[in-house]
Parts: sequence; C-alpha cells; structure tokens
Amino acid sequence: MVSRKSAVRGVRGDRIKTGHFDKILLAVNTVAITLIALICLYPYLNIVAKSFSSSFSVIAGKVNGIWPVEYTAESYQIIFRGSRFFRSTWNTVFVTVIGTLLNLMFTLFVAYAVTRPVMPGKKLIMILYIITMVFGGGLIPTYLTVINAGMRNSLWALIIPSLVSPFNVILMRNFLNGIPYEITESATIDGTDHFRMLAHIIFPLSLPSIATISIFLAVGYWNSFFDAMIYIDARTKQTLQLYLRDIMTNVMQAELSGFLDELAGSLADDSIRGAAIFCSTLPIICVYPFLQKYFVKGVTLGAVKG
Amino acid sequence: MKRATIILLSLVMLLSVVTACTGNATTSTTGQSGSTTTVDRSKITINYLANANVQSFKDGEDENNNEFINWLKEKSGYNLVYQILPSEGAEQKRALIMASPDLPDLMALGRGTYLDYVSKNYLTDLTEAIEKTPELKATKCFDEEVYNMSLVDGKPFAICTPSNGSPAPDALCVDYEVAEELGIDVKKPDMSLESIMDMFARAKAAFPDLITYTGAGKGTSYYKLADFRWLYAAYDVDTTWRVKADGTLEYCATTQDMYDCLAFIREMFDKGYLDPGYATVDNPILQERMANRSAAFLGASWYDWPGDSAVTNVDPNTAIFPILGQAVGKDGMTGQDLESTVLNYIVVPRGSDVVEHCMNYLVTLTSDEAYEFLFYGEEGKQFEFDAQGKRIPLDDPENTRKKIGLQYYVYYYIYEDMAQRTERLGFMSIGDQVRIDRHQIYGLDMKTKLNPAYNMPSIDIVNEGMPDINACCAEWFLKIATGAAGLDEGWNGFLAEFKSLGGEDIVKAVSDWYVGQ
Repeated sequence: MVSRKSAVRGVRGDRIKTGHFDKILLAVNTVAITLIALICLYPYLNIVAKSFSSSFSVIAGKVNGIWPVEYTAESYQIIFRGSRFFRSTWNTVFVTVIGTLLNLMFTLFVAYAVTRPVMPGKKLIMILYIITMVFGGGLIPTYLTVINAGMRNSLWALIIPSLVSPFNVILMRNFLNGIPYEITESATIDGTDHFRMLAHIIFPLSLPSIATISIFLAVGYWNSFFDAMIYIDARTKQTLQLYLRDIMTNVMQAELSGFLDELAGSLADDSIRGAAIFCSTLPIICVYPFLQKYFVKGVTLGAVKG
Repeated sequence: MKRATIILLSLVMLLSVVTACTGNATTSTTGQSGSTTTVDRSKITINYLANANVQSFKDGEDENNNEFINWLKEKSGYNLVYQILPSEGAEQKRALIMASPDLPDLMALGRGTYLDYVSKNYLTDLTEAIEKTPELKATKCFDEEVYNMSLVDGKPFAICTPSNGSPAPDALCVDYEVAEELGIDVKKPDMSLESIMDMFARAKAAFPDLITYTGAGKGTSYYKLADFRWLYAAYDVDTTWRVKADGTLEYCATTQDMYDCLAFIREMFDKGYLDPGYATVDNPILQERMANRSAAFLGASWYDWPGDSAVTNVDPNTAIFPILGQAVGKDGMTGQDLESTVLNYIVVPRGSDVVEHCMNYLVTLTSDEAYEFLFYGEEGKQFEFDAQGKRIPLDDPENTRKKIGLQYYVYYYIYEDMAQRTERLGFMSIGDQVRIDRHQIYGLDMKTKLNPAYNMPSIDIVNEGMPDINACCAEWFLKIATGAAGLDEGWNGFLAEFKSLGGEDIVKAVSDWYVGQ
C-alpha cells in the first residue's frame, strides 16, 4: 500500500503537485469513510451501553445512544459469577493459542514443502488439498471420525480436525513462491538444512503472511461455537462462546423466583446479551491493533503479482 | 504421468472409503441384560440424555455431581450418567448422538421427534420391558390416556409423562392510574364484553395520549392472536378443537363464534382502541410499553412480564398493571383451557442392552419419595410447611437449588404443585380461575382430556396440512384485526383459503380419529 505521504512525494521522493480536485476527493473520502465507520461502530457501542444500563431503562427503550442510562454492572456480575467464566475463558485461550500455533506451524511446513522444486508429488498433494476445499465429508462423518478418534469431550476436538486449512496453505504457498529462490539456494549451498532454512530465512521473511493467517485463525478459534457445541459435553470443558450462549439463553427463560436467580431474572435480555458480546469481543479488540499493519498488507497476499 | 496420477488418486479415495466404512462396531459399555434383580446395579451404567434448562449448577457441581443426582444414584443403585443437551442446537446434537455409536440409554423427546424416530426405527419397543416392570403402571403419574399417546401401531415406544400447559391464565390488565380514574374495581371487575368495550371507550376519552389497548400481535400462538387469549373463552373458541353435540369435533377457527370474536376485535380497531402498531408488537416491545406505561390496557401472559421488579409486581394492591382477568361471554362462558398434554416421551434408543434396568430406574424416578425430593427438596432445607400445609420455599440462597431437581431430574408435574409455584410468583393459578365452558353450558365434554391441538394423531394429512392451516389463520386474523381486510371480506377470504388448503379434509381426519378413541 502506498501512503499518502509518498503519493504526495512520488515513489522517488519527487514532490508531486496535488490539485484542488485531489484535495476535495480526499476530504470527501475521509468524511464518508468516517461516517461509515461510525455507523458500523454505533450498534456495538449501543449494545455495550445497554450492558452497563439498568434493566428498567433497557426494557423501557431509553438506551438509544452510546452512553449507559442508570449505570450498573449487574449484567457482568452474572457473567463473572462463579468460576465457570474463568474456566471457559481459559479453555478458549488454550484452544486459540495452541490451535493457532499448531495450525501456523503445519501450514508453514506444508507450504514450504510444496514450494521446493525437488519435492516429488507436490502437484498431487495440492490437488488433494483443493479437493477437500470443494468436497466436504459432511457433518455426521466428521463427527463420527472425531468421536472414533477418542476426542469426544476434549478440547483437542476443536484443534486437530481443522489443523491445516487448504486456503491458508495456498495463501502461504503463494507468498513463499514470491521469495527469490536464490536466497534459499545460497543458504543450501552454505550447508543449511530445511529446518534451519525455515527458522532463520523463511519464517522472518514470511512474517506478514504469518501475521495475517494467525489473526484469521485466532478469530476463528476464539469464535468457534458449533464445534464446541457438538463435541464438548462437560461443563468444565466449555468454551467461552458456549458459556456465554448458555447464559443468554438461560436468562431469557429464567423464572422470577429464587434468590440466586433473582439477579438474572431481573435483568433485561439485551443487558445480558450486551455483556456477553462485550466479554467475547474484548480480547480480539485488544489484540487486533497490534496486528493491523500485517493484516492490511496481508489481504493482498497471494494476489497475482506482475 | 497423468494416468499414474489418476490411478494413485483413485486408490487413495478407495482406501478412504474403505476406512470410513469400517470402524468400531457398536459397543455398549452399559452392562448386562437378563435378570435385573440379581445383578449388582452399581456396575450398571445408565446414560440419560436430558434436555437443557435454565437453572445453573452451584460452583463445583454439575449434572453428575449434585445432591439430586447423588440421591437418585443412591436410591436406584445404578451408576447414572446424565448428559445435558445444549440450549441451542439441541436437535442437531441429538441427531449427531443418534448417528454415533455412543447412544444414550434413556432420553426425553417431544411428540414430533418421537414419531419421527419411531418411523425411522431408532427406538426400542418397550412392550416386553413394561410387562416385566409392573410397578411402572402402579405409580401415580401413570395415566391410561397418557400411556396410549405412546402407542404407535399398538406398541409403546415411550413412557409418557403427563403435564398441564400454562400454569397461569392469560389476562386483560389495566394501568393502575387508569383503573383509579375510571373507577374500575381491579379485585372484582365487571368483565362482561359490554363492560370491557365501555372501559376502552372511557379510557380513550380520559387518556387520549395513551394507547388504549396493546398486546403482542406479532407473537401469534399456533394460530390465533395470542394476546387475546383473555377473550376467546367468552366466545367458546379458547381451544383449537371443540366437541359438537353429535360427538364429532369442529375446528374453532371456522365457527360463527370465531367470527363474532373477530368482530369484537375489529370493533376495537375501528374505534381506535387497538394499538396502531399492533401487528409489529412483539414481546420486547410489549415489555417496553409496560415499562413506559404507554398503554391503558394490555393483554398479557404470565411469561410476558418483564424481568424487572418495578414492572413485574402483580399484587393488585400495588401493581402498576393489576390483572383484571378473563372476559365473560353472553352465556357466562369464561376461563382458559388447561391444555392437558404429554410433557415428554421417555424413550430407549435401539441398541441399548439395559432396557429393563432403564425401566427399573424409571420406577425409582416416579416414586412418591423421588417426586417430593426432586420437586421440592428437603423440608427444613429448601422449604417448610405453612399452617395450611402448603410448602413455602426457604430463602436461603445455598438451599434454593431445589430447582435443579425440578428442572433436570423430575419426571412429571402434578398440577397442584405447579399451581403452588405460580401462586408464589403472584399469579393466579389456572386451576383457581372460574372456568365455565361447554361442559357447564351445553353438557358437552371432550372424550379425551388430552388436547388434540398438542397431541395430534400421526396422520399424514394432518401432519402435512396443519402448519399451512395455522399460518392461514394467523395471517387472515391479523389482517382483520388491523384493518388490512374488512371483517366479512377477510372472513370469506380466510374460509376460501382454508378450503383450498384441504382444511375440511383435515378436520374430518381429526374428528374421525377422535370419534374412534
């Protein structure tokens, strides 16, 4: 991506004149994109505001802006009640971190292997990968395979079945193909083996690609709900998404009696829903700014190069 | 090279298919069949697939470790393993479990799923098992009519648990300031149709800024405008089906009484009493209207009340929206049908080798002692008796976990116990309402106490046609209520579409089934 500064200065640093039209266009673009961003952001901020508002004001429809009305943190008391929230968060962090690392590792291995000129059968391997992209086994065969592998009620059921994504392999492969072969050839001549090549040459050069893929993976693992729902039975192994979904569904159906549920029963559905959404998205929001530059670069990875 | 690639690819795919087709044979780890009296029950594992519910477990406890399941394990002697389905995606997960080798030994199904599984041969015929466990038929929850609901081609594939429908009747409610201004006695209101229309007229005149009447028009219940349930019994159209003098059934929606009821609702619209946004009001919007007190009258079910104590209070002395009750028709007809139905179909999937042990477990589960403990808990711990012998829950937060027993393990509900729970919430129980229906006025009784609306026989024409019929009713009734169609125009349009959808054949099929009972 070319920055605005370099556009003004040109690729070689020469100053390029920008006309009135360019300035107006820039201003209009900035305003339009800002408005669109605010429109996209507003519903989220409204939900967060509801999560910090009293149930009465939420039910009465008084929370229409981005500020809480009659501030209260009761919704979060429900979410954080007991140890289930922390246990489920830990489970999700485990799946996200381990899953992302393993997935990246295997993706890099496969992509590196199929970009080696002397690798036999690499075309066949890629064809097999692409076939799995197009033709799925179906839900029941996949479920049976995972269960028969002894992964029922295990967090590994959320990691291993999706350990290598063909899409990510293709992305990584295309990026690695862009690394000049001379670099790896000279390293080979110097006596570098494949593992050192990966660690010291390929990995540092692939950081943009790796960062992009890792954020896709991390968000995917973090938000994974369906797989957790079908493979995880034990409450101690529930992920955060399952736990939050449980909370939202239970509160919506809660009766108005019982001391311990008086709190849950007295809260508006939207309050709980807002708190659940905020809790589940906060970690990703915190991490994303640090990876944004890689993400922006990475979206064009694998594009046709001249 | 190309040929070699194709051959290699074919071999790989063939190997994959062969691998997928082999695999573990269905194994059961759940013990032995044969005599159930001499076997050490602690070595028998019964896997129970339970439905999700709202009560959360105490920290450190779960569905297989709490005082209720531990009590059941001790009393039955079996090693019980409960698995609770997720609250969302339960059907999908159940379908996956049924496709896997790890089948449960017991599970609870709704009627539709039950009939579906029977047709697919997923379930065990329980005839022999029930014969070997005569104690099952001796429990107080056993009811011949309920038991008959489990029969498919004369064979029981389930043990049915009875239930009554809504524990509290729907009602017309009024804003307390409106009631004071209009001089309405909220404790003994005049609920005749003329009086109700008069109340609306006076409210509209005295409070022009308020919506005179609102209800969740968007939340239709099976076919009728759900928020008007307080009105239907006055026109004898409270139920979906009703018995005629000749002993056959008729579909209430197509009767003259339904037309008269719609005329009342239409009159409300014509005179400007009905919420202009009625067709778009759903439960959250209804609660918003309640919280903002922007309506003078509203029609609400007990579960419509928002979970906020400022609004939910239903004490007639202090409530913001005191409950007036049900309308009274010209013959004195009033009240709401109990909607007796079957709560669950407890089934044993085919392949379980502990069928008789499952029946033995159900004997424990249906015992008086189990019912008392699961439904109420322990005296002195979760409840105590008042002077009238009614159970009062103890507000000790550590001991109010009785609801876990109630929600996850209890086998059936006795109406009187459900009524007590409803009364504790402040709502009148449905059994305490004044109910005057065809029985008192015309001497007509349904042959079955089970409401055909919820226990429809498995007849293809009915299963296939009723959803369209219900949708047709809901659409036309809403059009009439909101002025989108004239009363007669809408009624005639509804009847024409009803006939074109095969409604008359469906009515005949249901009626023939009923007559044959």
